[in-house]
Amino acid sequence: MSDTRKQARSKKARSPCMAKLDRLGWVASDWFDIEGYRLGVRSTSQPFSAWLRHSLADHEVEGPEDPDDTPIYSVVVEDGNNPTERRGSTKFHIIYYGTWDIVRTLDIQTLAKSLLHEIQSFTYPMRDDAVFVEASVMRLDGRTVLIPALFVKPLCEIGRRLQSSLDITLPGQMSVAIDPATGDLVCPEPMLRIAPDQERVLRALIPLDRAADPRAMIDDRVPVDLVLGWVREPHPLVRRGPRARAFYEYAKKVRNGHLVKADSIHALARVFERADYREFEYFSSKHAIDVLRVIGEGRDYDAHRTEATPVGASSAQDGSIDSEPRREGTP
Amino acid sequence: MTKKPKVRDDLTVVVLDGEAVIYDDETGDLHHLNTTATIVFQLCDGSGTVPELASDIAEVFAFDGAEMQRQVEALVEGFEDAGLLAGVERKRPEESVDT
Repeated sequence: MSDTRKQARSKKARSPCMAKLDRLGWVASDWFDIEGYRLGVRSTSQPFSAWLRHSLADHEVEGPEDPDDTPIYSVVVEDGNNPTERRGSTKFHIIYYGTWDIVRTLDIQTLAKSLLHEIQSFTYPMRDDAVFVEASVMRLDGRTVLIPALFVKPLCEIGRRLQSSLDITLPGQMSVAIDPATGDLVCPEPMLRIAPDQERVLRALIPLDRAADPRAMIDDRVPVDLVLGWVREPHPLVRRGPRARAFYEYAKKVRNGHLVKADSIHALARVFERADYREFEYFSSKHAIDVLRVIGEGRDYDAHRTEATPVGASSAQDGSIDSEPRREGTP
Repeated sequence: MTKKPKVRDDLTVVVLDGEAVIYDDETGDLHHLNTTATIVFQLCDGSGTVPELASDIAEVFAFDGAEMQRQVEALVEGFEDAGLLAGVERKRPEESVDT
């Protein structure tokens, strides 16, 4: 590709959101090779960068010729030394992938663990030792709950309110691994070579005492107790509902489908057959608390009850087919 | 109208609460069928023509016959377009017709 085209492509790729993110004050950029895939991590903290380079020393590489062509995580770390003042009274640590903030927390250990998990998940589209799905998991009233990845950000934005009102452990990972034979969530074989003392080094480099925020992460085999599907309704509700639509939405999010093929469907089928199912809609943080409380209690809820549909309708529902071409796996 | 539609044997089909999700290993495509489409899909076993299928469904479920014929024709055409039927070449995406 010519230099002129590279420059044009680089300029064109910078959305307003990304341009805004670019101005946050990055003091370090580190580059890593994970099983042949290169990615970058930039951060607002030199100590955090030092921790990352120590933790992933075996994977560290020189920066690429064209950094704009390399996937990059942007990590905002509130270590008290940020060169750029950020708005907002609560200074969260944040991980961005592109412009998508995927983790937001006050707990540096949670941030670090989530980042390592994210980097590890870069290999998922290349693996066939499990079915990898872009979805997340939380704990609610002692149950393991599978949730759409799209739900993680709005959930975590009101995380502290939820934690003060409910028995909930917020999600900490944006992909899950499913054993196709059992439908259990599993912790895949690590492909990252992580320094064994990384937790100690992190505490030494960033000795901040802020709110602990442990997240639900899959460290061992665990069955899914409840699957949640997010529906579009004009009012808050929780109901059992037909599961196929949610199944279809999760199936579209399989990251290694081109490798595991029909196993992805069998894996999700086992999850849905064994777990309870609820679909929900909410519009405000207050609704979210009410909705999640109802879900935790195993009840249904409808904020706007409607007349029951008469039995024995004489015409069929119009048949419909929704189709989605399967994408080749990309990190 | 005389052809007898039959779904392919190599599709992976999961039916949950009367609705089907279908995975096509050949293309990697996914399909979701609502309850009506699922009923028609499950009856496409090569034993009946489209009018016969429509008549059977209308009789069992007490639906309007002409309306059912229209629906079944449209759905079978949709199955053909999606490459779900045996002996029918899948249409390229630019040729697909929305159902």
